[in-house]
Amino acid sequence: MSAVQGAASALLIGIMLVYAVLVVLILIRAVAGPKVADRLMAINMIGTIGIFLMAVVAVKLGEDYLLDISIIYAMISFLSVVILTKVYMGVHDFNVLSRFKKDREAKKELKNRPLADEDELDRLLREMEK
Amino acid sequence: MEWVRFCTAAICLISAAFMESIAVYGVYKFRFCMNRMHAAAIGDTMGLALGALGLIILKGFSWFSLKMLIVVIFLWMTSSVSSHVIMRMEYSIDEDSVKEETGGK
Repeated sequence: MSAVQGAASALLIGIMLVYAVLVVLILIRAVAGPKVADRLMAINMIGTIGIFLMAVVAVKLGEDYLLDISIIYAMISFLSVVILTKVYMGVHDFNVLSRFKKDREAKKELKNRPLADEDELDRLLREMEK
Repeated sequence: MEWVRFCTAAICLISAAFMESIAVYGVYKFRFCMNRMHAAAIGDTMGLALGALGLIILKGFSWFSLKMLIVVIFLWMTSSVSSHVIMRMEYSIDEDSVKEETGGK
């Protein structure tokens, strides 16, 4: 192994170590949150770094086919982010809808209940609308 | 000549690692997810492009370069779309906090 090859190998290993530390830091961010958007963004960043690390390994080992895997990984990473956002938006819409339905049923029940005081009914309805 | 190539590749790769570190620092520094997304985009675009350039220079021009270029172009296109989709989700599920952070717009 010539001096240049040895230096290149050391450089690639150093770069991989730096990126490994960064992945751990981003993983901590993903766990810490606090919002869903933060977590998804962190996962997206980990995907990007993973793709780059695969390319570095491909150069280090001299195996070009690893880059094909990184292309596939890029596609799957993108797809996962898009689908997770869609799923989360769907879950949120479902929760809002079921809360709305529950509210409407509670209002109906309240209207059917014989109340002695009409003012109290008005007050309860106003509170629910808030 | 080989040393010149190695030094250029090393500068590119170290700059890429530096850019990615800036992105991670920004993700920790900012408090709101839109600002964090801005920081994360640095690593996804500049960091990845510099890293790919460094690897291409280190490896020499071949089919590897073309594949690397495809990866970079694909990630440049998808990174912005992912950011947009994530932000749309955040806006649709928590509109109030986004409006509060952006001054009610």
